[in-house]
Amino acid sequence: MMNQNQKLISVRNLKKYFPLKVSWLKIFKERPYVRAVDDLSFEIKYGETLGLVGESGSGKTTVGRTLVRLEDPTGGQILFEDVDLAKLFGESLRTKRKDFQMIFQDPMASLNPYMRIGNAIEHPLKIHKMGNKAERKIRVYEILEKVGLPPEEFYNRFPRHLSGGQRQRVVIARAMVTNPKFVVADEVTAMLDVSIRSQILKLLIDMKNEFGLTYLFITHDLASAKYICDKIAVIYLGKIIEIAKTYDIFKEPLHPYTKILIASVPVPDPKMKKKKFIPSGEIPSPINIPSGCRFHPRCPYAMEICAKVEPELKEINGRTVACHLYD
Amino acid sequence: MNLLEARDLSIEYLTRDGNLKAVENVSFSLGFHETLGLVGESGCGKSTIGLSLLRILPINARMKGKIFYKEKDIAILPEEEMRSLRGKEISMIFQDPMTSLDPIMRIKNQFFETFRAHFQKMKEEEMIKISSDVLKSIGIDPSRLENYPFEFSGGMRQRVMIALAIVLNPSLLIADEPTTSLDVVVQLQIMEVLKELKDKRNMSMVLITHDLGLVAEIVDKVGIMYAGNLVEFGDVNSIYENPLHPYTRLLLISIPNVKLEDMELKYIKGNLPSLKSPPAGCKFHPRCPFVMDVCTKEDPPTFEINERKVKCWLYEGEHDESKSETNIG
Amino acid sequence: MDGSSGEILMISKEIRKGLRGLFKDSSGLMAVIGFLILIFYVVVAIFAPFISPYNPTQPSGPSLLPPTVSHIMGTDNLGYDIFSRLVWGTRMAFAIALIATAIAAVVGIPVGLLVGYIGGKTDRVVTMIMDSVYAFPGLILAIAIAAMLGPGLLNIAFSIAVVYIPTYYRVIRSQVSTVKSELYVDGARAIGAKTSTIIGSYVFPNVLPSTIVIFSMNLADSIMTEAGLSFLGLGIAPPTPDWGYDLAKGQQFILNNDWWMVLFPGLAIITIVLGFSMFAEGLDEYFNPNIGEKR
Repeated sequence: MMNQNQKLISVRNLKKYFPLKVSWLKIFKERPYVRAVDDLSFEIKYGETLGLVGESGSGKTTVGRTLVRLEDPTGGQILFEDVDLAKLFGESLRTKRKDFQMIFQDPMASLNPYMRIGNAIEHPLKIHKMGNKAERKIRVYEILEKVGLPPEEFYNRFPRHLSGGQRQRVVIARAMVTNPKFVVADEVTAMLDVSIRSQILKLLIDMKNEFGLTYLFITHDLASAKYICDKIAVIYLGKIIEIAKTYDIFKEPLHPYTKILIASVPVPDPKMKKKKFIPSGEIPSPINIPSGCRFHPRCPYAMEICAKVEPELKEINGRTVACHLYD
Repeated sequence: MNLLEARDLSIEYLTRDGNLKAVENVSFSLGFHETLGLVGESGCGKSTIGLSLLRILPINARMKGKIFYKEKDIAILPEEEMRSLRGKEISMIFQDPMTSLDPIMRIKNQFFETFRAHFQKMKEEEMIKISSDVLKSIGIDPSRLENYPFEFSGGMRQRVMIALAIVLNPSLLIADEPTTSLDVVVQLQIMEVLKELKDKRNMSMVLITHDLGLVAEIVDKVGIMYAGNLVEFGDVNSIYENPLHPYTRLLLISIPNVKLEDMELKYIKGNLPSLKSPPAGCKFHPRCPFVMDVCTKEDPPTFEINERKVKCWLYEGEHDESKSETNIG
Repeated sequence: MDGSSGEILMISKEIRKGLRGLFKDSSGLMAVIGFLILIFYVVVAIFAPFISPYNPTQPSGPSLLPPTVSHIMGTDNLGYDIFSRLVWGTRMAFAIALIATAIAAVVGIPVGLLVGYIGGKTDRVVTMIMDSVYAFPGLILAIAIAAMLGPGLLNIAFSIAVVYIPTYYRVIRSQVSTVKSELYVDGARAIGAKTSTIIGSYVFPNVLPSTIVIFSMNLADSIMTEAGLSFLGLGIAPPTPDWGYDLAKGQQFILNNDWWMVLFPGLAIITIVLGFSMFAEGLDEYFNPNIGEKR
């Protein structure tokens, strides 16, 4: 492929803060912010799939939404093929959207109840003036086949007659119909039934391979990330704490939080009595971010420096980790 | 004597468009101090069974069959007597701790409510002492009795719910998807709490979940549900080692895992059947890689093979003749 | 439940299912009754020339005649047949109600849509204006405007419409705020839809059902308001048949024990308002739970 090894997406120092409403009495104190995304940087090459893994409250969905500009970033750059999306607004942003798309988490809420499936999938083509009416219909038929929904049966249906898995396929079809270069998949299987999840995951992998797509795969489920991602970035409280190739992350997780995440995946094997370390506490609120290393209150290896100085992302052997253990 | 025994349990929901068969002819048993994992996807009937054990089904539900609790059929128990069982003998925790706790009541008062439902005259000091002990055993500081639910994090709220459920020392705890709405790390913590309940308090449990991985570490017996039927039932070790029903087998291999050797994703084709118009014959047959002609026509009976129950035509020849249960109608 | 009676049960089940499809459950009964009342009046309005025995604007008998065989509702002080006046008055009632409600909807809905979606300062300002109008007692506002504009069908309809514009605005705007944050609207933004497209194809169809109920309730209300205006002499100029006007006139003669001049117009107003209201309730049941199914 022509563009291999070239960067498609380059996110630099991305920040997204949400201001909190302040009561009149506190108006002179500093305004509290929810620092959902707090200075994040990463790159995705053409054809690569980067996994963004974290628990709820980690900021991963906010990263996804900010990347596709459903939110305006508070700071930082989002370089998409050398165009800074963070600086695009209005019409120029709108027209660029045919090149990057998002697949959402809740299949029951992401489709307009009043739009037939065929029209919903055709809509992006209409918006970006791709093809005439007949050509668009052919394209929609084509993509419905690709996602496993026979067009004769599904073109005229309304979303309410479809199951969760089928709706998710429609959302995927709509995201792919304009042949985008980049797709953000936000927890796309979290709300699906277990036996359907792997189907949808497989569909995403197949489409990636067939169309040479680049993905940002957002999930809380490390295990499913393993099958589809080339690299995995672990996010905690708005910051990336480790990035490595998938194989390396599972073979040798460096950051203590990554280790915990991997250990928390339930294994369907009753004989495996795990020598498990059970982590304490829960992810703190992004309003009250701990000092120093954000993870230090829960870290079994916390040292004195961890409470004082926030560790930087450092490169070690071709992978990056932010932890004082590796200083 | 078994602690719990369900016999030919069938539950229907009466709806505008006809009757929905949520649970069909389900039979299983649970011994004292044993834990049962009831596993299945949405619509399989597992939650309905959970509600039926406490007799808190919605008003449009119709139940048939027997539920023996300590050898007494609670399916036909008068409501007065059932009420005295709830909370005291059989207790339940639900999926979403945010909506299951009364948001405008201090935790302390929610405990008092539980006590007063069964022991009207209990003194406040005694109630506080027992509540504090329970909270401590679950890992919550007893001073938090004064807090409101919103002052707790998700995992802590779930612990509070567990504490409320076990404070009167029930013999049976039903947990309906207790960790589904929690983060993966917190899930681990709550499972540890449940494990302790099992080990230290000798509590029997029915754990209802869609996660086959979760039940593996904690249950003694597993029941796999599909579209209202109990398709497989048996001891946890043997089921995971040697799953018999095609659905169980497919589920086990298609769950994403963290093993590096396993990089190929396996999946089950097809969709969950509609409960309003289920397929003829075996409900799983449209998705089954081993489907035979008979599967498309006749609903298989439940065969018993070496203490394992399987509802599948593949095992017709192998079962213990004397023990097979046939479904009637 | 078996045997030949089974077939009859099956058939009635189908009919019931069909009716239930239109109107749900116990509220279905209410909606059916309301609907029947409305149909009745619509038929009367359409076939007025054939139903009305006499010319409503000409004397057709002695004045102040109590109900008799020839004049089943009696006559008024000018000898006009009351029954004929009521029959013809149905047209006026519908005409004003429909026009007034239509104007209110056509103004209130788009404003609510746009302002609700845009939000921000525009929202605050417009809502403040709308709330002020809404807080004003409806009838008095209508009186004020009608007094300024003078009599005439359109003027009255307009004065009534102004009273109801805030209702549409408020309902639509609050619906829009909910729908605005739905995931499918995000989806529409993500595919690059223009704001106008999002409002038109994604927001509007999802907020419209809430107005259908309002529409019906408005119709009921408009008739009441119109009757009130006519009652106060601000309505349709005589001798055009108008229920409110007749009611007002009848009131003057009540001391003479000429009860029929008040009873029949009053009954007409009450029943048609009831009809619209009951129908509205039924529609509410029908539309609101019907959008999409939850897993």
